[in-house]
Amino acid sequence: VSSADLETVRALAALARLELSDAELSLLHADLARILAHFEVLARHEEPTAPLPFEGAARVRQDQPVPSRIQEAILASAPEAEEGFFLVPKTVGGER
Amino acid sequence: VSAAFEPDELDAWTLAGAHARGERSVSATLDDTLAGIDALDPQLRAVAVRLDESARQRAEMLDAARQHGFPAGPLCGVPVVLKSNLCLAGVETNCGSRVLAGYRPPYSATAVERLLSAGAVPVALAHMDEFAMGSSGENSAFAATRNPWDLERTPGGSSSGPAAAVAAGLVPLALGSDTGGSVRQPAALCGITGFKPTYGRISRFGLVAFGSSLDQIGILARSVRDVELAFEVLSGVDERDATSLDEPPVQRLTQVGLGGLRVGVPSEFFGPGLDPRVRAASEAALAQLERLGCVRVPLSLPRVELGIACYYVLATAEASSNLGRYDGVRFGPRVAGDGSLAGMQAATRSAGFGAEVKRRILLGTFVLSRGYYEAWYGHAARVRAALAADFRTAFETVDVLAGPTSPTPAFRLGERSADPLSMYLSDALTVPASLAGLPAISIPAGFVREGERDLPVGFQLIGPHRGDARLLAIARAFQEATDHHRRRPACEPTGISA
Repeated sequence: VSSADLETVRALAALARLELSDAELSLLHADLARILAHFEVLARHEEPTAPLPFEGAARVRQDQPVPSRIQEAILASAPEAEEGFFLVPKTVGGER
Repeated sequence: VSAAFEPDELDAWTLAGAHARGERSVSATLDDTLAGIDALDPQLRAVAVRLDESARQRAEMLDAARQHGFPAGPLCGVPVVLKSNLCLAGVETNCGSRVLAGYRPPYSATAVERLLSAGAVPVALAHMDEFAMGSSGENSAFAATRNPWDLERTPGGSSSGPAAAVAAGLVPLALGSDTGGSVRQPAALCGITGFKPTYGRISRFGLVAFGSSLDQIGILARSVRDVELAFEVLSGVDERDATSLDEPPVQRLTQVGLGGLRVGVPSEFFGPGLDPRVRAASEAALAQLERLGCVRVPLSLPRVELGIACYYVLATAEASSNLGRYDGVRFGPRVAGDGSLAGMQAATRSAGFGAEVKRRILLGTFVLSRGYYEAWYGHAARVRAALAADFRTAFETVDVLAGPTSPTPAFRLGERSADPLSMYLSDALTVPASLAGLPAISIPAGFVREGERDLPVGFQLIGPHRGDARLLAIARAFQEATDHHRRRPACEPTGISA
């Protein structure tokens, strides 16, 4: 079982949208290496393919739209909202 | 506020009855409760958000309803504390995280709605490890709660505030959440009763998600009797949680005979990492069960030793996905970063999450990433299935499984906070039931001497899938024959006066 090298941890942080200083990265890399080394006990136990314990346990409701009257309340939690939308920094063209 | 009171007066059962019969007013109980919080919480640091005003309105409403002859709910006027990851409409539910600072959900959790319908009075939201990630309460971005038995020690976690509030006598009842032991371990370290039901028994709607296949709302109280009272109210199917079990609320069993009951004792629960004093207290509890007529059945569940690795792979994988939503768009404070969308998201998350949450997000992202997924996540999922099958097999020959809840009594604040792996290992005895989705309860089993102080030891009973009612009845029978759960910490200067 492979562990994660420093460059892998840097790439994981980017994937997870985390900005980490070099000091934070090297600390987390050391933690992960130690934790994963401890977890290699898992790999030493071969398990047959088996269904997960809760597969099929979830119920689904009727696919019927129901009115939602809390749009305003939900938007009130957002850092920036306007005219019924969440506002985010501009992602295409122009300045901002 | 009187320093002397009979502990049973704090019992949710007794209080609800006294309120319903008009023997005491809900407002008087609330006044005492708020005075207790005033007096004790500055040291304890259990309370995150006080709800004095809404609680007073509710108390007056409940008192007026009784005077007008409306029937009282089963939790009439019982003051309760909620962990800060349970939504209560309009109240800051920040999960102990800066990333959700100021977030006020527009709706309440189903469990919270059911508490309210039963007449309970929420008096506070309580501190917790950030996003329920921790075993000591120290990962809260806002306050590390202290253990009422020794203020230098941890109350356990992640339901640190709820457990300390109940143990200190601030309230008789609290709701927490348990993903890998976050209700049972703090209950053990604080000398109270903590119950995690079968996965799906209590709706997770409105519980902020951490590891969705493991998360379950749990109940903290000073007795099994109070846990049962709350569980009858909280359990039962909920259309808004697709994983809630399609069954009616669980009714408590009036009595269960312990004679001939088969108590399985997995040797893996008594491994080398166990504090010898905890071992001795657990052995004494087993001996007590035998005196009550139970039959002790030694057995082995070898995959229990894989529990920590299995749990931390699966829980972090789920967390890395669930916590993707905190990106500065929908909730909490936003940090602009370099002004781009991705830059804003990264800056917001990096400023908002604490070190342990970042560690788990990275670990979870790793075990789900291409090239590692099968070896880590896939393998852990198969181990989990096999472990659940092991438990099913064990319950063909025993009625209940028993052992210690936590390998050690309460440790000192700061003692493990620099070493994530040693903190993870604190959960070794609680994660197996979580992985298998089984009901499990921690009950006080005695005390160990630590310097000048006595620290409580918790004893865990695990039942078969959907065997909640019987598990609770067995735990209740143990408490009827013992008095460990009646002992109170010395730091308790206040309470609800007669």
